[in-house]
Amino acid sequence: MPVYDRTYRRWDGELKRRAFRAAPIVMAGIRGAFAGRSSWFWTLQLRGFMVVSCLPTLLLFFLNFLFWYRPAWLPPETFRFFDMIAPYRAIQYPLLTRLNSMFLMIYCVLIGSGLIARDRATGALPLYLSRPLTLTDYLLGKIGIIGWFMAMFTLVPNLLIWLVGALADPVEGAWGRALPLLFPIVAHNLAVILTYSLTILAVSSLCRRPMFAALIWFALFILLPSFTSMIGSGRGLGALAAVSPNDALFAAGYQLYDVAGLFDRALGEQDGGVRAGIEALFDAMKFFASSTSLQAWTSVASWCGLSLLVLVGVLRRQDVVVDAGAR
Amino acid sequence: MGLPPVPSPVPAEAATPPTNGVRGGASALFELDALVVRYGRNTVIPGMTVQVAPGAVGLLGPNGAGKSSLIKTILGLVRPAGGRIRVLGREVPREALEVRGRVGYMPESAVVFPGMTGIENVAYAGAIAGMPGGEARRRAHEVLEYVGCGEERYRPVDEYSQGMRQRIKLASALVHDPELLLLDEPTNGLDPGGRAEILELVRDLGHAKGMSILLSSHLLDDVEFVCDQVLLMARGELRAAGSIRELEAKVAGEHVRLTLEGDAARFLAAAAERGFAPHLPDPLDATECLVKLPAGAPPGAILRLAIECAVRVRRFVPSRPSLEQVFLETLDDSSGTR
Repeated sequence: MPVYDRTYRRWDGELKRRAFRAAPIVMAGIRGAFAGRSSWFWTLQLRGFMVVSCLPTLLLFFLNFLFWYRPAWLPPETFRFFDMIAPYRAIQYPLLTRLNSMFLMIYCVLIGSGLIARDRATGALPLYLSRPLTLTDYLLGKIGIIGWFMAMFTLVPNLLIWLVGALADPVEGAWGRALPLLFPIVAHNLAVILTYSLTILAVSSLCRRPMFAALIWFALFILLPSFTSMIGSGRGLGALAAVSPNDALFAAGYQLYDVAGLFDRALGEQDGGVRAGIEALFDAMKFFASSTSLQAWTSVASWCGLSLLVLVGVLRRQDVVVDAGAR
Repeated sequence: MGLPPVPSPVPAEAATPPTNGVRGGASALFELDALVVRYGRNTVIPGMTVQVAPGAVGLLGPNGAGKSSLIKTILGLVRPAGGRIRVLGREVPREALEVRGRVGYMPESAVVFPGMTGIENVAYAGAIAGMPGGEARRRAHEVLEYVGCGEERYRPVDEYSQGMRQRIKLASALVHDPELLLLDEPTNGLDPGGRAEILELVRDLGHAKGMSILLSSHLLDDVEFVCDQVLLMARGELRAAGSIRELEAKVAGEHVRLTLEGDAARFLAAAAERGFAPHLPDPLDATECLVKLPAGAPPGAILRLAIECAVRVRRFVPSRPSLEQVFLETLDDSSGTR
């Protein structure tokens, strides 16, 4: 006879019928990533990296704040410069997303590569599906985990900067000018979040070891862009450049924010050294945004759709078939 | 010879003795009506009909009999290719989510949610079942205490031994206090001590705590220790169903356990020829065998046969029919009828 406590108490509570059944998966996944129990190196790496990856956002946030606060210790020329670039401030959003994409890629690999691969390796999927969860809930939960981290470095900072930017605008009718920017900010960042999240999860579902998922994903997001940018942009083949998810996302943002229109206006109003500077920046941005809006969005939709197909296909073959009608 | 296949459907009252104190309002634990399960072109369950009443039920059968497939179908994880299935009064897979909220499942493999501690694992299992977060954590401590998991609960599960993983799996299946506990080979890979402890817990749940249990195993001792009723499966078909006593009564007859010395194979062949239905409890050891005397045959007939075969009988022990005999004879019968 075992010597331990053998009392089994009944539980009289009721199981909650959550509108979003995947919520516990999302919360546990985010907590798990922060807990970083696997090694001190991982913990240090992730937390240190989090600080570093906030720097571009903090810098822009600070500049926007200065714009609004206009401290007396700044030279008056600075304010004149602020006023001069005020109409073109929308350019900071796609630039920030582009800057943060470096960090996004590392987060994707650190957090996303093992999300499904580990469940596949340990056979934990039937454990999820033996609970009142469907395959869709499981997928939404996993997308929620990686999507939360992606949003923290795309949508949330952009929205914060948009808010500060709107408040900082010294010219009358600031909100009227700021509101139209809200749609491109949300649409572009959601596209980024979905593309990154779905692709890393699709790759993760194909592997049993997170390391392999990371390698495949890096090949898609670093080798493929290098290759297509090299061939496509140099020869004006925008469609080829759009094959790369990163370039397609940047081009989509470029079109959504009407960056070309902003530059045209800036070039029309400026001359001399300022104009030369604007031209250099414009050329650099155009290099990465050589595809048309249609090509870019087709590419984004294709990457998302393909990833979703892979995800569902792979998971449905894991010895479990969940009836969609069970929802 | 052996048990005839059970006529289907097996009426609940015939298949099971009345079980007192069993929770849940459903009159039947589950009902299968011409259930067909296929994986691609491979038919695992060709058509099973049975009705099982609440209580501790053993699902017995050799490897590949379709036990795990049946459990997955009950959970709605595998969609039936034909027939109907009702679990706790609900249609599966249409109402699978409802059923899964009332069922606890302990899978066969040593699988746990990776990257968490023991307590986090069990609380997480409760949370995804729909328990409120704080309640799930409190309840996780309770069930971990019950399954005998002490301070180890704060260690990552990736470092756990097989025995600890089994306990965590059992706790995860119990955390939301299910009406029906589905246990798929719960003693797999356990040492004798760990096996006894897990079986004690399961027996306690089934008998003292009024929880219905479906215990799938190919280990007869496990089923005999825990369950009151048995479903015997072979090659995806239900070969026998009923309470253990009923099934044992069906193979009633005089049984003798023999220890032989000499050409045991020759003796076994001759015994089979004369209708003694010899069985080897351990297929690797032909010297230990179990024979059933045909009606009216005296025990001396076995000894005469041994003399004819030039085999010495070192031990001759009359034995009462056990679940093991039911199992062996049923399988024997099923292979013979095919």
